[in-house]
Amino acid sequence: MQRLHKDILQQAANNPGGVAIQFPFEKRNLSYRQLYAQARGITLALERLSLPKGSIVALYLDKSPEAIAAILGILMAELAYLPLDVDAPDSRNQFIIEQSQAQVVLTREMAENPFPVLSSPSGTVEGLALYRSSAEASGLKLPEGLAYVLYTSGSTGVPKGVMVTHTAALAFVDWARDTFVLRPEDTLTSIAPLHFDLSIFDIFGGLSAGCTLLLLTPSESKNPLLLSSYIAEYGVTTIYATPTLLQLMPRFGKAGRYNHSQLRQVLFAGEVFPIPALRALQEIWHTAKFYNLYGPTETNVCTWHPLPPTGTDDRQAPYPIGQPCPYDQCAVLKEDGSISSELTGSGELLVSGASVMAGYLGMPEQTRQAMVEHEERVWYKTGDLVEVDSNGDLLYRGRRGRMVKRRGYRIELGEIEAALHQYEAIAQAACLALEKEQSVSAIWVFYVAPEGPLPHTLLTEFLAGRIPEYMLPDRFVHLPEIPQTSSQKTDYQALKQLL
Amino acid sequence: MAHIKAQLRDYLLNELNLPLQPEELQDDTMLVSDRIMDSISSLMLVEYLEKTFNISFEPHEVTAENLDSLNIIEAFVNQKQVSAKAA
Repeated sequence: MQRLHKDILQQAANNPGGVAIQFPFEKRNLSYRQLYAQARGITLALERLSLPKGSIVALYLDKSPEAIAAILGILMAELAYLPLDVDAPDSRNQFIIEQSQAQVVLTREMAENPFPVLSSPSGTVEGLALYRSSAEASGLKLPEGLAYVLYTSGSTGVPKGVMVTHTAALAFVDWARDTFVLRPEDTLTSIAPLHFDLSIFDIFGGLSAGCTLLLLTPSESKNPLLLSSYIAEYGVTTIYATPTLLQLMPRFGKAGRYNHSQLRQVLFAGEVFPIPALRALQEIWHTAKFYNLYGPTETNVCTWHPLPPTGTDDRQAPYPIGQPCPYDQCAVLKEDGSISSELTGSGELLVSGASVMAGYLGMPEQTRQAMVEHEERVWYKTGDLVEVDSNGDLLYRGRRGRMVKRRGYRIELGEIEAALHQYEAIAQAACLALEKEQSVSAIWVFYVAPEGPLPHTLLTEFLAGRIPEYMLPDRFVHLPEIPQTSSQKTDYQALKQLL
Repeated sequence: MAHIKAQLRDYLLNELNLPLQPEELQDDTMLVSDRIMDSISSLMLVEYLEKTFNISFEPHEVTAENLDSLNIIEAFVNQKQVSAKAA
């Protein structure tokens, strides 16, 4: 079996002096030799723990060169990595550490350990501390060749761990490196957080091609002016980001002040790019090529669409998500329940092939529900609605169910409601997402509190202790009662009328 | 310099439409730390400050530390105006 990190080791051997990581936040960089040496130190420390092959090691680390070295070190030790969101509430991370049965958590030395499930650190390596978990390791079936686990929002309030094998990740990474012609001369931004699937391209696509990774912290990634100055200063050639961030560049990036002439390609994914915003971006980056990539965490990127050269078409509707990547097949689940593996008509998009996940960690029932068998293949049901256009390209047509996208993240509105129902003063709550061009512009909460309205800050603070920041609602509306349908369910249509 | 704050209050409440009642917006209300103002609202505020007070933010200055409350924003604007005059 090929390993996800194989070519990164090759780069370290071939070009040890090349710059692997630029980290402007601390004004330092790491060569491939240094990256490898750090990773190797972590590998040796992990090997001393004699964990079974493929065991899960969680990372509780700020985005930093050490975090990248840790990922590499974990994979080199034949273990799988699970990146936690350090900005998520402790309760959520504690749940993930327990549910995943992660054996070890790699982190900075902490004055106070926020996770009761962890014992005191069992050692330090390369400035990191290793904490052993007391979570019981039993009964979990991990797939062979597991490389990483990424947690996504779950509708019942419980996040789900998407398990991806080396083989599945490599299907995408090898293709992406060839398709986007990544070379050691390239500098790639690393904008996505490590627990977000866009980071797979940055880390493994970029480093396996010998590129320089421009590692950005979460706050740097939200500052288009800073990003604009970095693109010029570090000679960025390739950007992979969500439309939410990219569309801020024309208005707030002051691109006229900076030289972005080295930028040769812009990849976007995670949500629909509204055309006016895309055109504005193409205007400031008129020499770059643009690509629309699509795929849920469960499949990684599974379809793609290269945009026509800037200024050569006058398309008014968002661009297609395009054609299946060569390692995957797509099919359409029609409304009548039939499946068409010829790409025609409209319905829910199904994906089968090399990049599809091995399942949800410890959730065989949810895994079964997410898959369907057809023509002796197993297909992942994306929950995304598509339509095939006259060119045979897939057009994204929205979501099935109550999942929405914000800043590229998937959000199950049910997860926010589940968190609100833990608030004592709230008797009932319902969430609605206000959508514009198939992207969330605001999340509204309607709630019933017998004692009267609650301050916005109080509600936000409460939720911030339970759900990640990107899920926090924008508006709270107090109602005497939540409208219900005749079957005693929340009447979301009636709520929509209130907006 | 009370007029800077008055203009700011008006902008935050009526233009950015922050989820606050006017009486809840005190001079030391923490806008970013208390998650009242999200990152896009912060960027719009920067744009507004640059236009209204004829100042220019450097890339590293677009941070919560400079935008977190009416007091902090006013101090930052004053400091920028002074250093612009000195230069």
